[in-house]
Amino acid sequence: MTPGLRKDLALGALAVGLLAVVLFVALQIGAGGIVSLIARIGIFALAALALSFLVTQAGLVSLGQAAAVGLGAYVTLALAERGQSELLVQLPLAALAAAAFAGLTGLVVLRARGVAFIMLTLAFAQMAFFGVAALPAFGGDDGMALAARSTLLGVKVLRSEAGIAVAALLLLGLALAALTLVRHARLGLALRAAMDNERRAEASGINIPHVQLAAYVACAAIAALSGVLLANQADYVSPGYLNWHRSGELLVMVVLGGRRLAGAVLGAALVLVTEDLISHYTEYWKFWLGLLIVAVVLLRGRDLSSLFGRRA
Amino acid sequence: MIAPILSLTGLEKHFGALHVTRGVSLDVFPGEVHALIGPNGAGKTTLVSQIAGTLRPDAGHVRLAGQDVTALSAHARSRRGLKRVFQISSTCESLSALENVILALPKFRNRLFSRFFPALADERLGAPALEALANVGLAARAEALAGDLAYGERRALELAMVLAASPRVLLLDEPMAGVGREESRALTALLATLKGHVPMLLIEHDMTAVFALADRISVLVEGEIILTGTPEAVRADARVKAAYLGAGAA
Repeated sequence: MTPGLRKDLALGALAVGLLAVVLFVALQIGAGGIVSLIARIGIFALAALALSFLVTQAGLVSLGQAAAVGLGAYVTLALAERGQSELLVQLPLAALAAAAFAGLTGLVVLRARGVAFIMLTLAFAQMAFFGVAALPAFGGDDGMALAARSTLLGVKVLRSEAGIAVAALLLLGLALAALTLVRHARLGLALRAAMDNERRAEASGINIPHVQLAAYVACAAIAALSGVLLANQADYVSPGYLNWHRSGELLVMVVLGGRRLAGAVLGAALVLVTEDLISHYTEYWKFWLGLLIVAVVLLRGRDLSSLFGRRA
Repeated sequence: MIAPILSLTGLEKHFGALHVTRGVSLDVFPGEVHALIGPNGAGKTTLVSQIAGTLRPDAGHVRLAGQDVTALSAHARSRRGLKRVFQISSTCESLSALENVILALPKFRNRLFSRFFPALADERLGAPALEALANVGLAARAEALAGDLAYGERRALELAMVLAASPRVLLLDEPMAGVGREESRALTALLATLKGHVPMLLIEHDMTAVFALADRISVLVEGEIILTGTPEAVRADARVKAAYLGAGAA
């Protein structure tokens, strides 16, 4: 255990713990809307966290993260259609499907750098979007209702919003702890070195395509888990889950969250709470979110340049 | 007799009609700082390239710890312990000094996908890296980001990174080039602390540094080594004065 690791783990525990406390209080006072909100925050934070690892730890600014989330949701839909609602089957298969997609596309996109990388991740995600939209068995463009909510060892744990919220926070906590460990391990150091100075990393004998592909695949698998929960919360799966503006929204959460992994939780909460609060008063809530993004980017310019600048 | 760690025998190199390396033989012994000097155009750069492996000699051999490495690439020679320093400015600015040294350890790239223990707390990485930092006087700056280090400290860090790779011999290719007088003095002091730990072949213009560091000096003139000897012997030699100051001054 090093001081840096301890600090990152403590921040992660604080972020997830705060959500858990709010969830607990909301359940006590019967505030259903807040329970739903926490569930959504947990789900989106999980996907944003995976993207945050790619962006802040590997310098890989992907605009295709929604594809992994959507594939996870479609695997859940397909399995539920065939009567398989067990989470212990759905979660691994969803992760596997997204990992396979990321593994294949990663071989291509990781050859590119900077803007070309962003455009290639976007292109492949849009291919996945049009791919699922062309599947008549799953409702094509319209999508399709989930046959049944997922179960854990036969128990309907995701029946209520509270159950989904607890599951999301559990997965979020586990993923955050795992990615924090990786950040501080040899692999994380190798990724950060490659992000900072490719020639130096190569001189150290690091196989850059290997370590970046590993990160790309692992983060897609984690994002797919959030797709399983998303399908359950909406009771519906549609191609819209894979759409590129979903990826953009996740990237906004990452940018708002800043350089630390735990920041992704904050970013997701900020976006979803803003949406929830402001949309009560005006339907133009995205305008105010836009202003918030501009403010954060200007106030934290140094952080953000270190986020995106070194890749150029 | 002790075997040389780096040994050149009868190196020859032609570029068309130009004969730029003429039968160069030179030995670097364990613990020795061997300096190579010579006026501009003497063929130092060509010779260094042949030692490092970026240029193939027409004839002759380069041996590293008794093994003939003449046919090996620069990369292969580096893996066998022949480390060229200051070839590239090579730090990751957003990582700490300690992390930079850990990256340079040959052990680092092993088990990249199977060891998820924090790298900084890993005794097999942290301890040797800290030792390398201490050797160049940077132990107190281990946590500082490489990008925040002063110029001289950065050079010291680069040296620590080279040391961490456990070199058998250092090829110092004009380390003082482009360095101010203050920094040149600091770097000379730094290299002096490494003297005895790692054998070095120092190719340098800065005569103050050369005479302060070298155990033996070889003088290269027009592709040929005209003299190898102690600093005193070289300083006193008429041919060296002639080569540097022009024939008329001899």
